[in-house]
Amino acid sequence: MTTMTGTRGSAAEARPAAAPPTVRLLGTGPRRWRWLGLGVAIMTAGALAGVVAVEQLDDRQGVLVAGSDLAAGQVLTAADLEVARISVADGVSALTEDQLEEAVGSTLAVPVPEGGVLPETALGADARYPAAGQAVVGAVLAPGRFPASLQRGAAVSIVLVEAAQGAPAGGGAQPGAAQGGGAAASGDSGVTAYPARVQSFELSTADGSANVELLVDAQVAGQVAAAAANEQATVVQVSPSGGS
Amino acid sequence: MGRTTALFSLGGAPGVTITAMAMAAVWPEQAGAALVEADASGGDIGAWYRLPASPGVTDLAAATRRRTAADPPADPLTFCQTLPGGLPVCAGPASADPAQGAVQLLATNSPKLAAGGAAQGGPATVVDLGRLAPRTPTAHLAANADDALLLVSDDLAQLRRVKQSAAALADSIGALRVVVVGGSGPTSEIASVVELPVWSGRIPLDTRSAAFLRGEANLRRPQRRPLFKAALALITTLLGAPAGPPPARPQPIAQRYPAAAEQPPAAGGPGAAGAAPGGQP
Ligand SMILES: Nc1ncnc2c1ncn2[C@@H]1O[C@H](COP(=O)(O)OP(=O)(O)OP(=O)(O)O)[C@@H](O)[C@H]1O
Ligand SMILES: [Mg+2]
Repeated sequence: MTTMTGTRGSAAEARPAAAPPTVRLLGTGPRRWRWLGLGVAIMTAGALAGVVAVEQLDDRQGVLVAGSDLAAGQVLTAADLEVARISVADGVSALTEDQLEEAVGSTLAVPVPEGGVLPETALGADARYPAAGQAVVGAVLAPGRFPASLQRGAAVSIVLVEAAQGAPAGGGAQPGAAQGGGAAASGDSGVTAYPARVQSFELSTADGSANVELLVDAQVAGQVAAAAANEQATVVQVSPSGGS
Repeated sequence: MGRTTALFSLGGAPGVTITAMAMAAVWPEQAGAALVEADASGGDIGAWYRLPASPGVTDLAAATRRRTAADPPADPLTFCQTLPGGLPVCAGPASADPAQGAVQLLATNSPKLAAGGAAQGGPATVVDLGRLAPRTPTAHLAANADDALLLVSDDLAQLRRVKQSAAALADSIGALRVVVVGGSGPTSEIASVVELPVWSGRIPLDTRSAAFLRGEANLRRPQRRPLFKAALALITTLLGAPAGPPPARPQPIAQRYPAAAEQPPAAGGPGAAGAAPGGQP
């Protein structure tokens, strides 16, 4: 909406519409420590399933945030959770404070870093992890086979290149290929991409390789694991909303 | 597409980073603003807020390099972290070496930094360019912004420096405006001396707000503090002017800073620190 930014009368009149002047920053103070993790942990676009955009402090609600780093599969206790009073933008998925009771005792479906807001998808419908039909695959990725900005929780495509196709690097791997949801082979017949989520991500300082755990569709887990073992897998970060 | 406002100084640390943060934090449009710290001599925000090094400007610069023609330009928003309170910040590396490499890559590959890409209703972008010298990647980034704000302390030595650089600056940076930090009274006299457009207001000295912006203190109603009020008034002036006069007389990049033009975009040296003016042709 670009409505009000044009020229229209004096500078005073051209005052943009929308929000009253607020300051999108918090200083140090009693509530500050709760925010530290949040500021540190959330990429504005990408890292978490529930990305929080805080718009106005005056319009805030209580949402559940992780009191410490929480791993997927963990059963939540009250001690794991805190309530932060923030305002959550429309369309952002977040568990609110009245869901606290429901959350305690549930199994966490996605990893949430300390201070991170729990997305609505955080509570698995059934208390099992990984959920039926999903599998966690561990892989060591060589430098160049994953984006440097990769973080835990990121939505990714894992691109597999068949051995016969030779050098895989940049060989027509199309991140968009998997964004429809299911697996998709790109036009380049040797390349297949599957959607996945990064459950854990650790960089080796020794050689720059990355140790990742990827949550994938159980049906392709074997294929992904085999490709990763043969250095035929590349992780490509995609938009968390799946394209657009 | 949101507006891009670049802030810089000619030295003397007048408060570029603090002012840029204040502007981004109060940006009045619905989508707010993202702050990009593209200071070639190194950034401060990461240390102030104890941010992890990634994501940030280094990743953004790397993403612009990997671009193929088919890809949309790298979006700074993708490489932002969110500060407590919700401000998206793409922080720069703390030290000059990697910072210079990153700024050079940005100037070469993606000089128009626009958060949210070309989307309608996207956030504005506020860029902290740090200290600017002529014919540097920093100057190229300033020339590509919709608004370029030269911050200067109300101090004789600093104002003289601006006056002496005025002609060269006005030549290469189209949408240039001087913003005075500190002092009091109208700035019209300063404008007649430096011979550049000068914002009629001033960024006041406000140590409590500065400490708040550095993450060191709390303020109950920051929007009532003089610094934030002035930042909002400055933005209102910018938004009241027609959006982005295109940069004046764009020159081929090679004329601006030969070192950058020589670097092949794909060259991936560690730290991309090839900024050293090594090979003259
Ligand atoms: N308006 C202000 N009122 C009071 N103090 C300020 C103001 N602006 C900046 N400061 C203080 O001055 C110091 C320098 O500010 P800042 O880091 O923003 O300057 P800079 O121009 O970005 O410097 P550099 O070129 O070193 O990055 C900081 O300690 C900051 O807190
Ligand atoms: Mg600075």
